[in-house]
Amino acid sequence: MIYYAMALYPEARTFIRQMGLKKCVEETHMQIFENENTSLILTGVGEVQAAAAVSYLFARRPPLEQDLLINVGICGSAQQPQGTCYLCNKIVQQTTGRTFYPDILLRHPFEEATLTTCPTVIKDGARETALLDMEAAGIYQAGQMFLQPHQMTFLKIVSDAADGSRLSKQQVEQLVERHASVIIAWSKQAQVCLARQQSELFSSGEYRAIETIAAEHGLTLTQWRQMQQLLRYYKLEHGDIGALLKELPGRMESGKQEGKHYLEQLRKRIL
Amino acid sequence: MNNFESVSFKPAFSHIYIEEKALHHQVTEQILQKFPRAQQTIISHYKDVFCRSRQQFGLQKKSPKLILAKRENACIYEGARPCQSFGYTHFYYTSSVMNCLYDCEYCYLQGMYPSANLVVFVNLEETFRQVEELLQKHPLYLCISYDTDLLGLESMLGYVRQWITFAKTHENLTIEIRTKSANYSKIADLTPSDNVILAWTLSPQEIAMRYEHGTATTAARLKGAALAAANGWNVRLCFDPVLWQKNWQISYEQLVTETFETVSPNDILDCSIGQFRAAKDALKRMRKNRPNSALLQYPYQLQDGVYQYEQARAVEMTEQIKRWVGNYLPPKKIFLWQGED
Repeated sequence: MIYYAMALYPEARTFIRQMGLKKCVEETHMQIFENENTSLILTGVGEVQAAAAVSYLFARRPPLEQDLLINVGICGSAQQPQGTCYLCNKIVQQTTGRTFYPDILLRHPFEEATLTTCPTVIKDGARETALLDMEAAGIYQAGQMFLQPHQMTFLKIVSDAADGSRLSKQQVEQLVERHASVIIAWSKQAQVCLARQQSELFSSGEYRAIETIAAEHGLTLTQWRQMQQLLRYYKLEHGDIGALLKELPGRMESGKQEGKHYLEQLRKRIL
Repeated sequence: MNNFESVSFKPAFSHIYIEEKALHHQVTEQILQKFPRAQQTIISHYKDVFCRSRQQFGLQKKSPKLILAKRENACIYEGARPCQSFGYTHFYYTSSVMNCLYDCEYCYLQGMYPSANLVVFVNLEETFRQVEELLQKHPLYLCISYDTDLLGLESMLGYVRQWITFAKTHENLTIEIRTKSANYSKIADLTPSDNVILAWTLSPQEIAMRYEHGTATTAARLKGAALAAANGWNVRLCFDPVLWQKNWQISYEQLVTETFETVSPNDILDCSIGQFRAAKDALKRMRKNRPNSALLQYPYQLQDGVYQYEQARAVEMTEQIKRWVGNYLPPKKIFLWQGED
């Protein structure tokens, strides 16, 4: 799953259109657009709103280890060329001075920069070397409760010189549109790359077989964990646990000793 | 640019995080020159990056970053129980680098550190100062390459050369430099020193290939050890950790034979043999970080807070390897780790 967090509709419009996302009508508190692989939430402007929106999104749609959160938005910068899209390797929360570092493990086509998240629109940012936005630090802090640092990516497109000038909705849409297809394509492939690293060891069929046997032999929670450990090792060494599970006898005796005896047999067979 | 066929991991040290305090240190400048294409980011403290919550050690190992920092607190530690003291009373270790270039599946660092990124403390002079302070109290046996592989990093750091030079001027200091690299050539021009021990960790080649990712081949390590020993260095050979696998007897007997055919037994200072062991909580974290490692998922037995092979298997392996090594070395040169160190 790829989760996009964007402050305002003009930033999101191209993404919604290009990915064919549909608005979730049952969501009344937040605007969320979805298809089967993607969720896009409009966070609103400012750190607190953004953090609240991301928390809301993940509380209702808990992310997995291979999922990604991508924050896309416009930003100000007097030093960087307008229209350029940057991937942020450091996020500074201006109000507290706290810093956040997303892990950048995967290759990407963007330039990198430091970003400062400010509580208000900066109108005199001529001397600021960092990019300036109003949401990223909040999104990072909310995101880190659900995600690991490599699962969060912050992409900012320079829209103005941090001098108080404002773009029209159409101008914002055009600016974002120039980068949307690259961002979408990269995000999909990045998610595929992460998913490849997170494959489950046991298939659902194997899980069911393990559960059936554990119930049959009356394994306690501790014994069940020990059994999983033994089978995990066996599968990694031999590639299949089906034959092994069939090979061992069914319930041998009644009473509490049954689980213990079964585990002993399994252990002896594996080691 | 719109069509990405695939996205892969960035190369090691694609990013270098530099503490403000370390920014103008000579070592920092040297390292940065070696990685001109790296993305540099200034940080306040190395822990801002190294100690972030919920980092994925296993994934970070595929694209480790470099953190350059200045050491400010105590950095000489007493030797821990799972480590061998080789009979030294004042056994200590120090880490001028945290984490390793290599990626051994059994490595305890993945259960100890929150991050796989490498932290290099650029002010080695501070460690030297602390060593000198301790030397005023008593002699010191100091392992300098436990939480990293310093010789493996020698091209980048040159720390082994500095340590050896330092040891030469401090008689009551003995240092051990342990490695899985083939980098002896980087220090081969130095005059051997009595109080420096070069130690090579040795595993059968198939184990090295399967579990010790990125390390030098067994043959290359042995070649380095043989050259060092022939040049007059104190050379220690470490069959540690000894790992169980089907037909382990064949692999380890071959390893011992190959070792002493390559390195003259008369030139060896000593040898250590130790089975795999990991502290209880560390193994839990290691398994979480590397869920698909058969080596880590082996159902080890918990004994006195340390996970290890079941006793019969551990004793059989240790004693058998000791017998093979005993064909070449006298008993006083063979040190065992059996849990009671």
